[in-house]
Amino acid sequence: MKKLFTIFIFSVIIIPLCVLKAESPKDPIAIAKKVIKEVTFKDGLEKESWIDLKASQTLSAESEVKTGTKSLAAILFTDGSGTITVRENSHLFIYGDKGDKKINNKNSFLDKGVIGFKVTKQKDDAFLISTPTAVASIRGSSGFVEFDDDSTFIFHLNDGSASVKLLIGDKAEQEIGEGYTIEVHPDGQIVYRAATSEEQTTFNDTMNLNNSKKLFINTPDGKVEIEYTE
Amino acid sequence: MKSFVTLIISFLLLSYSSVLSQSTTIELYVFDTSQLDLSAFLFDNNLSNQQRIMQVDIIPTGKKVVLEGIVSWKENLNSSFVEVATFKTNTFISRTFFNDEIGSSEILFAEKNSNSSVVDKIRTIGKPTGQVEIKIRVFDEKNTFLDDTYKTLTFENPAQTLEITSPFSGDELNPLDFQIAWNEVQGAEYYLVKANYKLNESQSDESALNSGTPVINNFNAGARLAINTSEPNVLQRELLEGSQLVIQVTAHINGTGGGSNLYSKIVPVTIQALTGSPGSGIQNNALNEINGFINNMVDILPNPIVNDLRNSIKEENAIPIFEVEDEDGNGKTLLEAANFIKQLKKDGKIISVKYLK
Amino acid sequence: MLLKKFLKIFLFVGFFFALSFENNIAQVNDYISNITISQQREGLPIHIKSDLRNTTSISELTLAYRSFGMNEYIKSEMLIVSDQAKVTIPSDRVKAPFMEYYIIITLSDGNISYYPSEFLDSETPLQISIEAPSPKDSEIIILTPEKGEKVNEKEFFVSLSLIGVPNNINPKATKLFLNDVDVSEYIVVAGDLIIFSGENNSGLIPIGNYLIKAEVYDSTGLLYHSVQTQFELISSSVAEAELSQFNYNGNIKGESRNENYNSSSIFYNNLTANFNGSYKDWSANAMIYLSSEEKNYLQPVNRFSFSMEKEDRFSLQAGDTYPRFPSLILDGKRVRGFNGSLDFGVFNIQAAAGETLRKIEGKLLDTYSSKDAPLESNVIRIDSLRYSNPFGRVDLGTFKRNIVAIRPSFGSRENFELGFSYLHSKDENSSIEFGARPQENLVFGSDLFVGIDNQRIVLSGEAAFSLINKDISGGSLTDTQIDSIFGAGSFIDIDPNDVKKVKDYLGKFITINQYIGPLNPQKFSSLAAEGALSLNYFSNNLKLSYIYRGNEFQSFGQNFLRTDVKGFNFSDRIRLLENQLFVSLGFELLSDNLQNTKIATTDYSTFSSSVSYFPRFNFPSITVGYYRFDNNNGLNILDPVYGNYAIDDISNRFTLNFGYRFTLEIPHSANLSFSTSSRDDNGFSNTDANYNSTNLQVNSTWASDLSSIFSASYYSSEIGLKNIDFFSLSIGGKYLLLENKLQLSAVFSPTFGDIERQAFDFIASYNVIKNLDLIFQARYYRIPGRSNSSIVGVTAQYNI
Repeated sequence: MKKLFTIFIFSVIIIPLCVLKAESPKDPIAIAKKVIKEVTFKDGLEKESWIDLKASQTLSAESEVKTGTKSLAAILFTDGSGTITVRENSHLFIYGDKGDKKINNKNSFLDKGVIGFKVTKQKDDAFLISTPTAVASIRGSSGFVEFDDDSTFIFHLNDGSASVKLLIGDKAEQEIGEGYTIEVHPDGQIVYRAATSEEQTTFNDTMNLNNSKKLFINTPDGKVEIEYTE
Repeated sequence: MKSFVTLIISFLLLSYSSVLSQSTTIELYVFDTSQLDLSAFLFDNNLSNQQRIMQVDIIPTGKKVVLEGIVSWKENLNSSFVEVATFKTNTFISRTFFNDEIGSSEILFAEKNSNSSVVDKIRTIGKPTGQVEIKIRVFDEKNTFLDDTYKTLTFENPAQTLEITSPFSGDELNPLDFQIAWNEVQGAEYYLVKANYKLNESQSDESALNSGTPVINNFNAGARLAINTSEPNVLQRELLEGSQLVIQVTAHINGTGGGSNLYSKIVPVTIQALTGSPGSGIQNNALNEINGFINNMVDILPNPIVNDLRNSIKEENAIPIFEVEDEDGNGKTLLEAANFIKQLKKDGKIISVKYLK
Repeated sequence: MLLKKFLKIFLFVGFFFALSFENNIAQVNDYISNITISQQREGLPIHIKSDLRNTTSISELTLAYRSFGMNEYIKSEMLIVSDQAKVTIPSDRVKAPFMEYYIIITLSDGNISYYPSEFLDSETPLQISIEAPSPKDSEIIILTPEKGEKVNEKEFFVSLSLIGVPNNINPKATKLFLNDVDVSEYIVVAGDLIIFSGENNSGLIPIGNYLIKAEVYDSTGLLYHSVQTQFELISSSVAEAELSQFNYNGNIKGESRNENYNSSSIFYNNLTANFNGSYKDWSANAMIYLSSEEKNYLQPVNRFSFSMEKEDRFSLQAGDTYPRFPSLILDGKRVRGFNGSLDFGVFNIQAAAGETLRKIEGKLLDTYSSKDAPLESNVIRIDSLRYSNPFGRVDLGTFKRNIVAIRPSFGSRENFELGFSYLHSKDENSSIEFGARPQENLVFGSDLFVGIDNQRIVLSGEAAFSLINKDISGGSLTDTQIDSIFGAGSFIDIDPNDVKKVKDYLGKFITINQYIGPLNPQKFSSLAAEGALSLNYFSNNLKLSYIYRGNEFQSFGQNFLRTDVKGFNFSDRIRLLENQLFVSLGFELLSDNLQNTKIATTDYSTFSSSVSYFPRFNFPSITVGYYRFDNNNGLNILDPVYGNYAIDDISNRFTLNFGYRFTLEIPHSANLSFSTSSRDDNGFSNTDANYNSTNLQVNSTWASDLSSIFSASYYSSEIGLKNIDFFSLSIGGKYLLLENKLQLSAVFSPTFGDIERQAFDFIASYNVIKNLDLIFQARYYRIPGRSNSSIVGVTAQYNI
C-alpha cells in the first residue's frame, strides 16, 4: 500500500514537474545547420560535458562550440539574422537574450580560431562578434574574423559595413570599409589596410560550407569537374 | 760382413727412399677467380659442401703421404704476406683430389692453426681482398719433406658496383645509333648488355626488362666498356621509334658454381621518333600520357564519364587539349593528377563528378 | 509502423502534388486537354504541366510567358514525356499581380497551333494571378533549407523560426508539408523553433524537388499565416550515386606481328584481356596476357592476375602481382602468388607471398671422373650413380625462388606512419637437378613518415638490414660442426656457445652455415638506410635526402639497388610567374668504399639544372638544361702500383628545346631541340665521348582531315677515335577518311652519312564499329649492305 502511495506521489508530482521542465527549456537562440567531422558543443543550459554536435541541434545562449582539424560547423541564429561558420580548430561562445520577437545582444565570442559570418541587414541591434582584444559590430555584411594563438585579431570585411572597437590599448573604434582588413596586435597596435588576395581566398574558403574544392579536367569537348573535400 | 750387408741394405733403402722422395711431386691447381667467400678457407673435418677451388695432384699415387697447407694474406699491394692459417692432414694414400674432399673423405685434417687476429681483420673487411697465397707441402708418413708448391690468388675490389655511365636515365636517344657505356668492374670476365621495351608506364623497369624478346638480348661485350647499337649483332630487333626502352648491363665474375653476376641499375630511356607517324614523337607521347591517365580513371570516375573522356580525344588531329587544373588555375601533370584523384577516391573524398560540355 | 507511414507519404507525394494547391485549367483544344499550374506566389517557381492528346502529331511544345509590365514573352521549351509536357517558370520571374502565358504547339507536319486555340486570332494569353508577399512572411522564417538550396539527403532537416510571431500563436499547432504531404506529426518544437529532422526519416523522403509549406496557427486554432520555400533534395551526390553502382569495362586486344631482322624472321602473337568492375566501394580487376614469347626455358612472359579491393580497407591480388613495400625491401618485383593488405586506419598490415623466379632445369653437357674434372665454374658435382661419373659440365639452371614479405604499420600516413618490414626469400634446392648454390635472404626493415602542415613538411625515412646465405644446399651447421669450427684454437675465435645461441635464434629464419653473411655486420656492411626532408613552401619544392647502402646489403625483392654508396642529394623545384616558369636545381654527392674494400674511394658528384618557360600567350615555350657529372677516385693514372685503378671523368651535357605553335595560313606546331654532351675521361679506361644532336620538327594541319610532318635531324658522335655522323629527313602525312573512322598515315625517311638507311612507315587504323578498332602497321627498312628489315603487324582491339 505504502509502495503504491509512493508511486502515486511520484507520478502525480515528480513526473509532471519533469515534463514541465522538459517542456519549457530556455529557448534556443541558434541551430546547427551543417557539421563536418569533429565538432563538439556544451549547451548553455547544461555545461557539464562536451557532446558531439549534429546538424539540427539547437543551441541555447552561452553555448560553446569547438571544432577539430578539418572540421566545420555552420550555425544559424533563430531570428534569421545570420550564419556563422566555425572553421577548423576554433572555439566559439554564443550569447544572446531572447526578447520579444527578436534576440537581443547577439554576440559570438571567438576564443580561438577563425569564423566566417554572413549577416542580414540589422534593424536596431547590431550583430556582435567579439574576441578578448576587440569587438566587431556588424550591420549586415560578410567577412571573417580570426583570433590567433598569439592573440592577434584579424577582421576582414568582404561587403557591407561594420566597425571594430578595441578592448585593449586606447580602446579606439575603427569603421571598416568593404574589402578592408584590420589587424589588432596584442600590444594594441592597429593595422588597417586593404585586404590581400590571400585574405580574399580565406574568406571564400570560410564561406564554403561543403569544405569542398574542385579539380577540372579540360578536354576538347568540355571539362570534367571533380568536387572533393579536403 | 754382417755390418757391411746392413750398411748396403741401409744404403739401398736410403737411396731408394731418396729416389722415392725425389720422384714425389705435388701440383696445385687453383680456380681462376677474383671473388671468393671467406668460407673457402675454413678448414675443418666436419664441414660439408665446401667450395671447390683447389685441385691437388700428388705423383706418384698410391704412396702414404701427409699434406701441409699454409694460407698467407697480403692486404694490399704495399703490404707483405702474413700467415693466416695452417693445417696438416692425416696420412693418406697419395692421389688427385680437390680441397672439398679434405675433411669429407679419407683425407682428414689432423692439425689446424690460425692467426686469429688476422682472421678477425679479414672478417672485419667482410670478404677476401688483396692477395691470398696457398702453399702446399707434401711429406711422407715419417714426416720427411717430399715436395712443395704454391699459388697466389688476387682478389680485386670485391665490393664493386656497376653503373651505366651512358645513356642517362630519361635520355632521348637516336634510334639509329647510341652508345651504352659502363664503368669497369675489376675481375669481370665479360659484360652482358640487355635492353627491352617498356610497353606501358605502369610496368616496372625490372618487369619490362624481363618480359618477352629483348631488343638487345644479353649481348656479350667481352671486356669492353662500351658498345654502340649500330654495331652488328647488338640489336636483335629493329628499334621502334618513340618507344620506351630499359637497359641493364651485367658483369660476370668467374667463380665456383656458375660464378657471380653483378648487375647495374636499370636505366629507362626513350627512343626518338624521327620517322614515326606525323608528330608521333610529341603527339604519341602526349596521347599515350592521356590514354594512360584515362585508363587510370577507369575504376575511379563513372563509366559514362570515362567513355566521354575517351571520345573527347578520338577525333583530334593535333595534340588534344587535355589538362588538369585546380580552381585557381594551377596545372597538375597528368601523372600527378591521376595519383591525386586516385587518392581522393580511396579516401572517399569525391563529392561529385560532372561533365560540363 | 513509422516505416509504413512514410511509405504512404512516399506513395502519395506524387498524387497530392498534382491535386492540392493547383489550378486546373481546361480549354477546348485539339492537342492539350488540361493544364495544371502549381502554387502561384511571388518568388516561388511555377510548375506548369499539360496533358496532351494526339501526342503523335506533336513535335514540340513551347511555353511563352511574361510577367506584369513586360512586353516581350519569354519562351521556354516544354519537356514532353509520354502524354504530358512540363515546364517551370523560375522563381525570379514570378511577379505579382499576375503572369500571362500561352503555349505554342509545333506539329509534326510543320504547322503551328496554339493553346489557347484562339490565341492565333485574338492574341489574348491566359493569366495566372500571383499572390504578393505578406508582411507576415518575415515573421515566420524558414531557416533551413534555404530557398533553392540543393540539400544532401544525409544533411536534410527543416527548421522554422517563429521568433517574430505574436504571442497568441501556438507553435505546436504548426503544420508542415513537404510537397503537400503532411509531416506535422514528426516535427519537434524547441522554443521558437520548429524542426523536422531528415536524419530520423532518412531515405523515406525521396530525392527530388520539394516545396515546403508551413502553416502557423493561433491559439484558437485559426490559420495565422503560411510560408513556403522550395529546395531540392539530392542523394549524397547524383554522381556519387553513380559511382557507387556497378561499373565495369574491359577490353580485348590481339596482335600479330612479324619482325624480319638480319634475315631472321620471328612472329610475335599476343593477346591481352582486361576487365575492371566496381560496385559501391568494391572494385575488381582481372587481366590476362598471353604471348608466343612464353618459353619453358625462360622466366614467364605470360601474365595473369586477379585483384579485388575495398576502398582503402582491404585489397587482395592473386597471380602476377607487383607488391610495393618500402623501396629498399620489395618494390617493382613480379611475385607470382598473393599480395594483400588490410587497413584499419591506426593499424595496417600488408603481406605478399609467392614465386619470384620459376624453376628452369639446367642441362648436363658432359661428365667427368674425379681425376679429370676441371676446376671450372660450370663443372659441378652430379649424382654419380645416375650419371656414372661424379662431376658434370652443365648449363646451370635456375632454382625456384619463393618470397614472403610482411609489413605491419601504424598510422594512416596522413600525418604519421611507422612500419616494420620482414622479407624472407629462399631458393628451393630440390626444384632442379642441375643448379649451383641455391641462396637464401632475410631482410628486416623499418620506415617512418611524418607529415606536418598539410604535408608541406614531410620527413620520411627507411632502414633495412639484410642477411644472405650464398649456398644453402648443405643445410645448417650442426652443433658438432660449430664446436669444431669456432672457439680458441679453431679457425674462428668466437665462443661456440655464442654461435649456437645465434643459430638457435636466427636459424628459425635463415639457414646458418659457412656461407651466411655479412661477416662484418658491425661495420654496417648490410645496412641500407635513407632519410629525406621535403619542404613545400612559397612555390618551392625543396628536398634534402641522405642515403647509405652498405656493400653487402641485398634484398631479393630489390635486386638492382646500387650498393656501396652513401651521400647527399639536394633538389629544389621552383614555380614562378603563376606556374609559367619552372626552375629545377639538383646536386648530388655520393661516394663508395663504405667498408674500405676498395683501393680508393670514388666521389660521384652530379649537378643538374633546368629552366622551363611555358607562357600562357602565344610565344614559344623554352626549356634549357645543364648537367654535369664528375667521378673521381683521386688515384693518379701515372701511379706505378695503382695507376690502372684511376677513375677521373667529367661529363657535361647541355640541352635546349623550343616548342612553338603558330598559324601561318594554317596551324603549325614546331619543335626545335639541341643536345650536346661530352665526356672527358682521364682515368685508366679513357673512354672519351662526344655527342651532338639537332632536331627540327614541323607538324602542319592543312585541313581537319589532313596533316603533315617534316623533320630534319643531325647527329654526330665521337667515341674514342671513332666518329659517326649522319643526317635524317622525314616527310609524311596523315589523312582521315570515312568520317574520321579510317586513318592513314605514311612517312618516308632517308638517312645519309656514316649510317645509310631508308625507312618507310605505313599505318592504317580503322574504327570498324563503335568499340572495335583495327590497326595495320607496316615498316620497311632498307639498309645498304645489309639485309632489309621489316615489321608488319595487325592489331584488333575491342572495348566492352
